Amino acid sequence: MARPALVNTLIEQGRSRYKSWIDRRIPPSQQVTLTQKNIFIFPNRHALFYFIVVATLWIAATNYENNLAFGLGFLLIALFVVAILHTFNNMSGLQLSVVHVPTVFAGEYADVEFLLQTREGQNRDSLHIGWHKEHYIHTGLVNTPQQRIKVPVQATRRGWFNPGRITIQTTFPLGIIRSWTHMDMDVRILTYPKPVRFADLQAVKSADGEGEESGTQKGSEEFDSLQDYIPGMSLRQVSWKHAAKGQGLKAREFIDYTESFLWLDWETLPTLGVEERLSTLCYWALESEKSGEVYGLRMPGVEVLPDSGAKHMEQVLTALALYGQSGGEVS
Amino acid sequence: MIPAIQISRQTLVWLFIAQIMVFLPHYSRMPIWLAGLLLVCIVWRVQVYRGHWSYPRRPVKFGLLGLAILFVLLSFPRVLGLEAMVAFLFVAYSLKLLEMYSKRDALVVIYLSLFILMTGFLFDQNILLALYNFITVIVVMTCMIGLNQEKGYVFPLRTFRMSTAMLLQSVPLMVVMFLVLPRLPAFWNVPVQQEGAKTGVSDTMSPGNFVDLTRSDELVMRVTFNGEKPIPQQLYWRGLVFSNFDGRTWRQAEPEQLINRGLGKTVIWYESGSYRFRNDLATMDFEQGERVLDYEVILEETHQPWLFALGVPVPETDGVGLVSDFRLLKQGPVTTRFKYNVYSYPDAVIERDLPQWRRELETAIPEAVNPRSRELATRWYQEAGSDEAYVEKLLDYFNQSFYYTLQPPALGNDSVDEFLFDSQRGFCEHFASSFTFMLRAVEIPARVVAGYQGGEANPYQDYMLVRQYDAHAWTEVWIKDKGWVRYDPTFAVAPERILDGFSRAFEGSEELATTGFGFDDVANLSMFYNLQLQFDRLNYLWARWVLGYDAGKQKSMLEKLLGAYSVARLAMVFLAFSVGFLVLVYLYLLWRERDRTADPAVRLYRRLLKKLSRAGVEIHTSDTPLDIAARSGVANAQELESIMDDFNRLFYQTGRRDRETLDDLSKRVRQWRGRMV
Repeated sequence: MARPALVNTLIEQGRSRYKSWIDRRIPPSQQVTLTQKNIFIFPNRHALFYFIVVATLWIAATNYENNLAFGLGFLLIALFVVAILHTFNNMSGLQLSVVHVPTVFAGEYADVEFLLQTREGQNRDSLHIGWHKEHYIHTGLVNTPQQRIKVPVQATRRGWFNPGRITIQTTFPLGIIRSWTHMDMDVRILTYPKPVRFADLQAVKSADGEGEESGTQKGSEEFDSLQDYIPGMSLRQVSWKHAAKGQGLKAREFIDYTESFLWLDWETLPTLGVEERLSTLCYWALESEKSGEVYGLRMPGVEVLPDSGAKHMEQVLTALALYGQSGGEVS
Repeated sequence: MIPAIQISRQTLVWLFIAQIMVFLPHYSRMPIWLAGLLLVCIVWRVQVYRGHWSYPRRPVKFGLLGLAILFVLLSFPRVLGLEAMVAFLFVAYSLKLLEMYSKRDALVVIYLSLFILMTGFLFDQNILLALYNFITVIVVMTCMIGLNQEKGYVFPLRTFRMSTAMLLQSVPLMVVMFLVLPRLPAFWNVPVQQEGAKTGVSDTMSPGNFVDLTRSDELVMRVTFNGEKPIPQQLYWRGLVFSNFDGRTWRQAEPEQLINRGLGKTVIWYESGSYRFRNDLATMDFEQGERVLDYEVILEETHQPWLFALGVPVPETDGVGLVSDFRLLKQGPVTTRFKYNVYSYPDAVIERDLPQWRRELETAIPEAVNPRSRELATRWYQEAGSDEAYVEKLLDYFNQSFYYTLQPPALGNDSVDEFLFDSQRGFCEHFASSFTFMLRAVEIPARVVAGYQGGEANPYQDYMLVRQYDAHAWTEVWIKDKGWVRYDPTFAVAPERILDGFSRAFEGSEELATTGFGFDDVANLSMFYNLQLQFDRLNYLWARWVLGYDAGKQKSMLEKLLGAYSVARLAMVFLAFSVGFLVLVYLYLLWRERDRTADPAVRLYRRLLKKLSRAGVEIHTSDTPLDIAARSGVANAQELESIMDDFNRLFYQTGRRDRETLDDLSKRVRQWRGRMV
């Protein structure tokens, strides 16, 4: 049943895909630069009030035949035209590039990190950046040519979540003209299934574990040897006795026997739907990692060999995230 | 909805500055408590910002509003007048501060600022106020920009600089709109301010009236002559004609008294493009004579309807009328600077045949006043034998025994008697009054004319200034076969007053100094005097080209510019301006986003790459020049390879590059045409 080579290839594939994607996004040549080709501009609702004021001035000027009042009205109209250029100018030439895309669980907010850049000496005021109106980041570049910003977006579905086009907008300086653009930054957020416990892990554990393979593996069951503690190791491994004697932190190495592997198995959840199964498996993986178990993942066409540690968990979660999606399935 | 964003401290401060700046020009017109109200509101809002006080509760707000409105009602006699309106605006403007929670409320204050700013122009349109208000607009717009800045990014002076830049950039477009956008006639009649002090010559004349005027160097009008200019002795600006005398005070005749009996009208109104005016004018007893003076007058506000013009005027401006005694009148008072064109005929003869009604009007004097003068008049008239000889005799008499002074003794009820026989000192109005009385006493038709005499030429610009101290009164006498003839008894007493103008006549005399009139001191300091003239020249140009720029002037300017005035042509001009403007902006953008690489070879290479990619060659950043040439698949690949070779050589050669290679390459790149096989 095990197809380790294939699984590894798959995971490798996923990884390299991710990597090539990162490689494609991060080089500066891939930055998005805002120019007249991708900036839209139009007066907003507040321009209406502005023009009501101008119209009233004009009527008064006409009635009183007052040239200076005309002048004031015309000055305000001219200012409106000039403001269009300034609003445009506040956006034009701005560079936005993706710096870091985090991985999140479905339903969580991902803080996507961007680098906002402009030419030295150019100020950008009052920019609103974001995917959703409620989560616009208000920022600007004043007396600094660049700045990192984190824009939150809710990853609603597992897999490679594409939040769609990001909006960059400004109404600076007068607030009556809106200039905006919707850029597809090709952000893809690796979204793990939402961890939900639809079924108990214990039950699965007992139903599994009969030795299919023999041998030993680092684990948590049987004490084997003592070595220096490396940050990142589970605190459960620390030999507190030695620590109490002042011999420093030593980690106890355990050995697990194959029969105590934990298979997080798709087949053990026959009553649940696909997403519920994935959520449950995700929950189990997190729990197992937390309790220092050695665990593997089995799903139709996907197998991750038992292991533990942060890297392993990432593998498992990625496999869960990409299950059934292009790049995550077996051909 | 604008989200309720707290207003930043900097913006708040700018807003207060803007409010105070908006208030200042109105300071003299508004009651003092309004300034107090504004300050209280500002202090309150500052305390709210600092968290010391809270916003006033609703009852307090309404109480304040009610009180303020009551105060406005009590402070202004005319509640519907312009001043009261502005005061109401100010009340709203100040109290709005006490409920300025959000950006939206701040916007209301900003828009109100612009309104109140505009009302300032309804009272005063001078150049300094215009400049001041421009700066105020900059401050107001600084607030508006500040409202749209994120809290952490507000640098007050940067915001102000930005506002200044934006408004200066707006000026050219404003000028274009000012010049070409069509002006409509007024939609409805608007109240003009009535409380404005009437200035200048008043509509009655009794002893002592003119003294105040002669102490003022305030400007009355500016006159530009086209072609021939008159000599100083001819500069009698007729404004009012006084025909009714009650023994002490001269008044204008009532309109009914002045109805031209032949025409049935008192005034004929000029109307461009209408023959009625010409027809009416033709029926008046008026022989034009030889010379004609063509000029334009810009009259400062007087709040009176009369206009000033040289002898026998014919108006050329709509809304100006000619009264049957040949003076000019405006429909409604002159509440702002008013510009009118006039043709004057200095040699004209008017009313060669004096109608009986006019003779009765211009010889009427009350019974039983000034008995001594009447007696003298009768005696001298008999001695003289003719009207003209009698007039000469009177003028001789004035010349011999009278003094011209600005500080005459006060006169009683029989003012003419007292003046002629006792005091014998006075100035124009005394002379004109008694002279006219003496003529009327023997039934010679005569009347007092008031207006200005003289005027000073501005050497910096071709126009003439008339000031209040040029105010004057003289007499017109009807002489058989000559019609109405001007006699100036003051000239007989103090000819230098007429020949040199008023200010020079009194130059160096103690009299003006003691009357507190300081113009001479300033005039003697020629630098100040020159500066003053320069400034006045600026004011003149302002009045003529900015304030006086009306639909008519616009039309004639556009006709000159476009050949003919039509909406289509106007639209074309506007379109041309807009397109030109956009092209400029586009060029600027291209220039701004230009390739800033210093190395010309690199720039050239990039140009070639652009050409290639347009031709459909895929280019990756890692490609070397020869890679591209090898892979391109273009028809003329050989030439491309050779070009790439040269690029390689250019990029990697050591030492100085010679210009020719680059020039040659540049030519080849330009000529190379990418075409896929």
